[in-house]
Amino acid sequence: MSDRDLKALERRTFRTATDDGLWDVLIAEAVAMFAVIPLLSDSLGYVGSSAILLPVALVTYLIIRSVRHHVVIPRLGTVRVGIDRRRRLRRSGVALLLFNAFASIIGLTMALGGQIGWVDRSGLTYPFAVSIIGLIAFSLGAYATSIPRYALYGFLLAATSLLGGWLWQDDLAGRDGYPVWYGIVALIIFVVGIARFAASLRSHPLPQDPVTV
Amino acid sequence: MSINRDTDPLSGIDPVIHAPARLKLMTQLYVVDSADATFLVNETGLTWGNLATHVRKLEEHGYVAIDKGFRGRKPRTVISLTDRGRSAFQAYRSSMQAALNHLPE
Repeated sequence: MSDRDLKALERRTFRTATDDGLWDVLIAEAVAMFAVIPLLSDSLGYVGSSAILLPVALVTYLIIRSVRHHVVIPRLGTVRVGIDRRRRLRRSGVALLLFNAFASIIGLTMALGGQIGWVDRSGLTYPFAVSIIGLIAFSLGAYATSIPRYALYGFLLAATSLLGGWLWQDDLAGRDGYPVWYGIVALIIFVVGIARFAASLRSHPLPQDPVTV
Repeated sequence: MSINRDTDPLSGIDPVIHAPARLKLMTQLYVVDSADATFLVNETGLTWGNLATHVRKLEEHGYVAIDKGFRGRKPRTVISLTDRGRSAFQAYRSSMQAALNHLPE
C-alpha cells in the first residue's frame, strides 16, 4: 500500500471515529442562535438575548458529549489519532481561536459603533463580513477534520448572511431576513446530523459479549 | 528452476505481518497512535476471537503493545504498535514493493 493509500486510510479512520453527526447538531444549534437572537433582541437587546442563549448552547454541548460517551463510543470504540492529525487539529484550533478573537473584536466594534451611530450597519458590509468569517472558519474546520461537508456549511452560511442582509436592505422581509434563512440552514444541518447519527448507530450495533483480548 | 534465497525478493517478506488478518490489523494501527478492541473489530471485520488470536501473535513478536484498563466498569483493551512494530511494517512495505517490482511483465 502506498503513502497515498495510508493517508486515505488515516482520513477514513478519523472520520469513522469522529463523524457521527453529533457535531452537526451542535453546529445547527449555533446557527439557530443566529436566527433566534434577532427575534429576541427587540425585547432583550443583543447582549441580553445572547446571555440567555449561551447557556442553552452549553447545555446542548454537554448533552452531545454525554450521548457520545454513553451511546456512540460503546458501539464505535475509540482511537487516539496519530501525531500528524493531532498537529493539524492543534494548528487549526489555534488559527480558529485567533480568527474568532479577531471576528469578535470586529463584531463588538460594529455592534457598539452601530448603537452610537459611529458605524453604518445598513448595506451589505456587515453581512459580507459575517459571510467571510463563516467561510474561513468552516473551511478551517473542514481542513482540520477532513470532513468536506463542513466547508459546504460555510458556503451555506455565507450565502445566508448575504441573502438575509439583502432581504433586510430592500425591505423584502418584515424582519432583517436572518431568522428565516439562518433557521432554514440550521434545519438542514440538523437533519444531516441526525441522519448521520442514525446511520452511524445502524452500522455499528452494540458489541455482543466481546472476548477479552 | 532453483530458487536463490539471496536474491529471491519473496524471502524478505515478514510472514507474521503477511497473514491477511494481521496485515489488516497492522495497517489500521499504523495510521493511528492506538485503538481499542471495539474499534479494531469494527474496522477490520474480524471476530472478537480472531482479533484476540492475532493480537496475541503480534504481541509475541513485539509488534504491538496491549494496555488493559477500564472504562467505567467495563473492561477496555487498547492496542498500539510498538516502535519495533512500526519498523517491521515499514520493512514489510518495502519488501512487498520489491517483490511486486520483480514480477515478470
